[in-house]
Parts: sequence; structure tokens; C-alpha cells
Amino acid sequence: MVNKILLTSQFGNNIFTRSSISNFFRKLNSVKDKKITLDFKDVEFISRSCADEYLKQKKISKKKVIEVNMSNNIYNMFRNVCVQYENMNLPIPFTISQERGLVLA
Amino acid sequence: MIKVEFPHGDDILEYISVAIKVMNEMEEEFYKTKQISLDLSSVKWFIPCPMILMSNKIRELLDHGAQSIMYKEPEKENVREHLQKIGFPLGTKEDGSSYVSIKHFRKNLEDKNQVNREVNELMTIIEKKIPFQFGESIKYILGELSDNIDEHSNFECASLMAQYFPKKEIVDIAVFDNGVSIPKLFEEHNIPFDGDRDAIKKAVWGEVTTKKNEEMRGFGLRTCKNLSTEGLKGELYIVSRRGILILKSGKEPIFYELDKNPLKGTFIYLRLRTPKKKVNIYDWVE
Repeated sequence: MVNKILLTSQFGNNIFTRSSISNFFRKLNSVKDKKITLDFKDVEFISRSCADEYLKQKKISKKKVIEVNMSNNIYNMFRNVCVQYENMNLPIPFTISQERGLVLA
Repeated sequence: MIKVEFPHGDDILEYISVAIKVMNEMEEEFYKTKQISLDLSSVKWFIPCPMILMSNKIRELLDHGAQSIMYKEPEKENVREHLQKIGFPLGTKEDGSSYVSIKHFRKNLEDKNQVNREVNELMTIIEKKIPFQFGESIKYILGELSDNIDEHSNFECASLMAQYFPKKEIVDIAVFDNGVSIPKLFEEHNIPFDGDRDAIKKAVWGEVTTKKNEEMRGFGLRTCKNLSTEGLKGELYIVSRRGILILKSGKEPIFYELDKNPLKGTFIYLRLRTPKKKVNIYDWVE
């Protein structure tokens, strides 16, 4: 059984603060399910800082986290942060596609 | 009674200076008498920025045990009415067709999602009042500013308000937190700086971060600067303790250092011009 979480129920339509992301992952990491689907349906905006925090938290999480229903806006912000990692010669944590979400690189 | 006299015109810096002076006077009066008394009777015109600062101070002093507020309203009827509408002095949940009234929220240490939720609510209201050409620019700016407050300021009371001026086609947004100022935060982390204005510059230009091994921080405020001044041809005012930074489209940054009255906390004021075409934030995000 895969646990599916609708992100608007956790954050509202916009995700603005790093602490809300880290707090969410803290809760996520404490659930029993090993595989969790995060549904971005109706999430309109994620800030650059939150996208960065999401990538960091996803990388250190032991759960298999799968993203679905990422809009162009959300996808673009994640892609932008990945490009920033690349520009700073930092290891890029994930490859990203709108269909498959964020997959460990 | 503390007499409030604003400048003529709408020079934002002059208004901010008056507000900071009044805030310090209010604090002095509070420590002597446990009361707050403000005389706004001669105010003939105002812009939002000084009102949110003074309103936050009143809220703070009430929380600290002020026993009463004596408040003389402006004699001019339309000024008095507008002041009431925007929620001065204590804030209100009611908003107008072109403005988001003064909103205060106290820090709730138990609620890690508090700032995210409050800014979401504010954004939902703002979006209905501003032209579509702003796209996601205001979300980006407010998101990064609120994240900085959430992460660093340890505020007691944060305040927000916004107003759209349809004739001038500008949006004013004010954000104030009465927590740890940028220079104070740098001092706490042993980050060197040359005067409070230099601390603001270092924060906004993303030259330093208080987090260790975090190379991916510092982009947010720098993009806010570029997006608000160049993307939206606007003005950005940041006041933190004694430092002031003013950024205007196409102009060199202006720095000031307040000599008498420091501000406890950080105040950010944006004046943004409605773009001709819908803004794409990715043209400005680094």
C-alpha cells in the first residue's frame, strides 16, 4: 500500500518557507510506509528556497518519495535549482522530469 | 502625548524616519508610564509604510503590558476614515478592494507552518487585487522575504500590509518583523561587517550566509533585489537596526546609517510598478 499525500493539505497552494518543508519531511520520515507519493495537484508555487530544501530533505530521507502532478511552475523551479547546483559545481542530487518527478541522480 | 507629523508628499524615507522616531518615543513613554499616547490630529495624508511600523509597536507594547492607548484621530475626515479602514492602530481582518489592511501575527513557537500559512493567506488576498501582469513575481518576493524572517528573525510580532494604487499603477508592500535585525544576527554569528548598512548589503547581495556548508543559500534575496528593481522597475527599502538600503531601478544603491533612533527588527518596503507585459520570474531568477 502506497501512502499518498496531497501537498495542498499540508502547505496550502503555495510553499514559502524552508521550515515548513523540513517539518513536513520530519513527519514523513516517521511514518511506517517505505514508499510515499506526494501529490502536487493544485500546488501553484514553490519558492526557490523551498525547492532547494525539498531536494536536500528528499536526498537524506530513507523513504522512497515519488512526486506526481507537478505543474510547469513547480517543475521549472526545481529545474532552476538543479541548474544552480550545476553552475556552482555542486553534485546535482536529482534528475528531474515532469513525468517521473525527481529521481536520484 | 506624542505628536505625529508626517512630511508633505510621499518621500518614503522621510515617512520611515518619522515612524522610527515615533516608535522610539512610544517605547520611552511606555517604560515611564505603561501607557501609549499618540496624536495624529494634524496628519493630512499618509502612505502605508509608517502606519504598519507604528501599529506593530503598539501591538508589541500592548503584549508587554501597556495598560491603555490614548489615540487622537486625524481631524481630516477622509484621512481618518482611511486610517480606520486599513486597520490602524491594531490591525484588522477586513480588507478593501485595493488594499490588504494591516495584519499582525505573533510568533507561535509550536507551529512550524505558521509563517507559510500566514503568507499563503495574504497572497490569496493580494492576488485578487493586483493586475495579472505581476505574474508570480510578488509570490517570489514575498516567499523569499518571509522565509528569511521565519529562519532568522525570532520575531515576537510580524506585520504585513499591501496596497494597489490604480491611478499610479503601483503596488506598495510592507513587511516588518520586530525580531533580530540583520546586523544583530551577523554579530551573533561572528560575521564581520562595516556598519549596519554594510550588513544589509552583505545579506541582500548574498555575500554571506549564517548557515555553515550551505552554498545554495543567498540566491533568494539577491533575486528579490533584481526582480523588484529591474523586473518590476520598482523601489526596495530595507531598514534594519541603524542601516538603510534603498534600491531604485536604474540607479546606484543608496546607503544610510541612522544616527539617533535605531529600528528594533527589519522593515522591508516595496514599491512596484505594474509591468506592461506579464513578468516571467525565470528571466530574473539566477
